[in-house]
Amino acid sequence: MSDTPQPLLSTRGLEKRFGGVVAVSKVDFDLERGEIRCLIGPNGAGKSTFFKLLSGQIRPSAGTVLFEGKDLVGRAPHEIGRAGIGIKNQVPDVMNGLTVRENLWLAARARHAPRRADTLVDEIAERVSLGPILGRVVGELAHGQRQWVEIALVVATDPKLILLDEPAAGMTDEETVRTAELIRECNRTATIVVVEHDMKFIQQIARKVTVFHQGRVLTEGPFERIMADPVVRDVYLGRAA
Amino acid sequence: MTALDFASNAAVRPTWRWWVFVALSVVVLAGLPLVTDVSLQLQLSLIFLLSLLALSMSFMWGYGGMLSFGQTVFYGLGGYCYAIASMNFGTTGWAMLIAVLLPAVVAALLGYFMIYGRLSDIYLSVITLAVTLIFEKAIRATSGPEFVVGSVRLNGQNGIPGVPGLQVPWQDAPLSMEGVFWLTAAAMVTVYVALRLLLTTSYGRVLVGIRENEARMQLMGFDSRRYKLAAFVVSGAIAGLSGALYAVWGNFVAPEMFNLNQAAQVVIWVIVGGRSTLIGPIVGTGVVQWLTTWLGQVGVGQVTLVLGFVLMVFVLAFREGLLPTLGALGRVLVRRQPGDTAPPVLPARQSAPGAPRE
Repeated sequence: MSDTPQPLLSTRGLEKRFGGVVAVSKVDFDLERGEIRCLIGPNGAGKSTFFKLLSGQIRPSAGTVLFEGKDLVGRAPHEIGRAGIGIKNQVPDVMNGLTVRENLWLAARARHAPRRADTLVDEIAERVSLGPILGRVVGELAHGQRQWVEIALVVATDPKLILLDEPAAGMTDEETVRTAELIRECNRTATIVVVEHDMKFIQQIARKVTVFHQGRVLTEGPFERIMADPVVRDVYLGRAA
Repeated sequence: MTALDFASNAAVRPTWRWWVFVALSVVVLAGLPLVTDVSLQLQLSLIFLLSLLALSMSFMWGYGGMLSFGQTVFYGLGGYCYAIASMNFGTTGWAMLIAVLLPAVVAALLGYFMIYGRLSDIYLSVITLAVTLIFEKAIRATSGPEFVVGSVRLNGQNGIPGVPGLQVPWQDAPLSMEGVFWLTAAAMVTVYVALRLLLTTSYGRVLVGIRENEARMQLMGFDSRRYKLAAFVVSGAIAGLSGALYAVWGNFVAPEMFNLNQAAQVVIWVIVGGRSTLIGPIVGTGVVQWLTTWLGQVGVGQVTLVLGFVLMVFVLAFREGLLPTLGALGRVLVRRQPGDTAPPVLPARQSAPGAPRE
């Protein structure tokens, strides 16, 4: 990763209103290269809306999202993908009727020439340990496996930044552990933002955590400090902060 | 995979068996006029040229995920282009070329507004249908003597009779009956093979990916609109060719080429044959056309009613269409061989890979 002082991703005054409801309110957020950042917060805290704003899936009512200094607001989905941002939403979102191999090939093809994509498929399958199921049709796989295939798709596009929305949702403990390993593996080449509920899972991956509450950033810091913070505990227990 | 990888709607490279099948088809089609009578040749030629129309639709629907209800726009345009150009210029080769290119240009314009305007797939169906009906109305309204293109009167309802047959360089007279048979057969096989190979290219694989999950492909960085528009233009050109061949076959074009009946029939051919394959729509066209003729001959009377019933049966009972269903059946039978302990299950296609999304 480069040493530029400029953050990889930053938002300034980012705001999203749905009618009268302010889901995300004037958020200033900075992400350094090489981080794994977790966004946490109780239900309705605005973290999922914030995620959708970061990934360009909804337009902000006000404010900017800068990726490597360039404004992402209003760009088409494929432009955001090409800029080097890999996005994985909560529900498995893959090419269900095609094999794992074809899925990975398409992802690799998004960045590389067809021949290079052919060889990349095997490299990625090895990296993400999907080798044994390369020939299977994705729609026939278990939920957890489909999530991994989708993470592999994101990795295959060689992103600088990976945005993951609850990647461990609906997984067994064992699958969750493997997903955490997978995310750490991805972090060797990419900066990662994860929206998550599951504290055990966050513990496995996070260094720095941003806590959302009522549409604002409540606090930000290393995982241990955040967990020890009485205000954060109050928020999670439902008491007013 | 079936023995002949017919049911492979993903972009699988053709096997040697498929090439043998193509070669055999070419031999059979080439030899057929030597052993059959003129009436059968006429009927088969019509099926061949109409199956091009079915192919153009199934390529868009089965592989591009876009149901164009009005492929007949380009079919009719192709027919009229050929008629008008050949009667004006007298050179039928150029007329044929124009009959392919002009519908492609129209498809590019129409497709640009629909696809780049981010209209959902359902609106694409509605708009193409509306456009074909507009063309039908417009052509029907041209019966007056003032509607002339060059030296050719459009004739409104009555259509344009006396369209010249295709003139080939090595022959003085226009194509004979056998010639038309070979021409339509060659066009069908060529387009079928070309589309099948196109689907194994990088472009084809990306197109199938877009059909499976457009949002995901966009997030990965593919501009899906370019791929879909290209598919729309290719299929418009094929439909144009089909219409031009119809004009060559019947020496006649009429506004019926654009009408609802014709548009709906294309959908039926593709549904009956199976949109998730390319050979399916060809078989579907043949079966339905043959059935239509046969029902007419035995005097059922309500041919359309019976066809409607056939369509319902296919939509309800054979959702994947004739060919894919036979393919799945074949797989089950193959797996039931003694000593094979694998459970004879149909492939779990809960998401119906061949089906367009939504």
